Amino acid sequence: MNRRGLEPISFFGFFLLLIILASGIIWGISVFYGKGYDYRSSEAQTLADLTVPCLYTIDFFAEGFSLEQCGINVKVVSESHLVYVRRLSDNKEFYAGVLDYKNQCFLNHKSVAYPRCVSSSVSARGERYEVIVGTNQRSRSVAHV
Amino acid sequence: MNKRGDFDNVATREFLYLVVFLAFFIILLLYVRGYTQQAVLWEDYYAKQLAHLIDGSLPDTTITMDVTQATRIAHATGKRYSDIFSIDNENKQISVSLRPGAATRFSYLSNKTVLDPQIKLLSGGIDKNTFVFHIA
Repeated sequence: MNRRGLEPISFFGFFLLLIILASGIIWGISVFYGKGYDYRSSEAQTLADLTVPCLYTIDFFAEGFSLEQCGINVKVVSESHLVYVRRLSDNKEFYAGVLDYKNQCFLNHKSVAYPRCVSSSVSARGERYEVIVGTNQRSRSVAHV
Repeated sequence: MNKRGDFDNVATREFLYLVVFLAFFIILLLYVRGYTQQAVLWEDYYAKQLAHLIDGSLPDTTITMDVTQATRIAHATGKRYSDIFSIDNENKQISVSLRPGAATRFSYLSNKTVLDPQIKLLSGGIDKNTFVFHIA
């Protein structure tokens, strides 16, 4: 007669079970309540509104130029945004943030996971520029006392 | 054969599993509760709206935002009103917390400084409340 009962479940198996359970609940909640308020398109427009007027007054290709001169926080932009400016006369490029968004911007109709962008053509100070700004910033849940 | 030792090992292991499971259950319960009270959704909304207002404002502007819904949820979750909104001028981050132990954080883009952020409870209740701050 087997008096030992069932074999004890390993710690790894136990954690795996918890992770599967948590994933199911989190998935269910996100399906039911949706993915939240998608602000990225408005944010991309805001970033464009901060960038383009600055291009009229400041040379982005001058030595030592920083987006801080346009009142944009470089640290925030570098994490989940892109500011890309190309001078058409010599194809010189300036960018801050995630350069790959330049490609992902054109795929944004394929999935909500891709960034939302605003692209424009600007004539300023005798030059023509291509400007692409994009954002994929999501809000984050953090511990709070 | 040391049957007592076996029992202690099994009891310790079972106790450990129980503690881990209870911790997991409580965290999950708080997570689900945050959604069912819609605290998470409104935190997300207010954080992004505040970022929008800050980025779109001119210097030396005082902004007043209706936060009645936020105070209603905070009242239900037992959150202190003074802890709902916090703005980190150094890292350009907005935190909105409508549930115990957690908050939603979002960054604004511009280098503006937010001064004197405070919730004003009009008529002393939760019927119409505002969040007032000044952009330097």
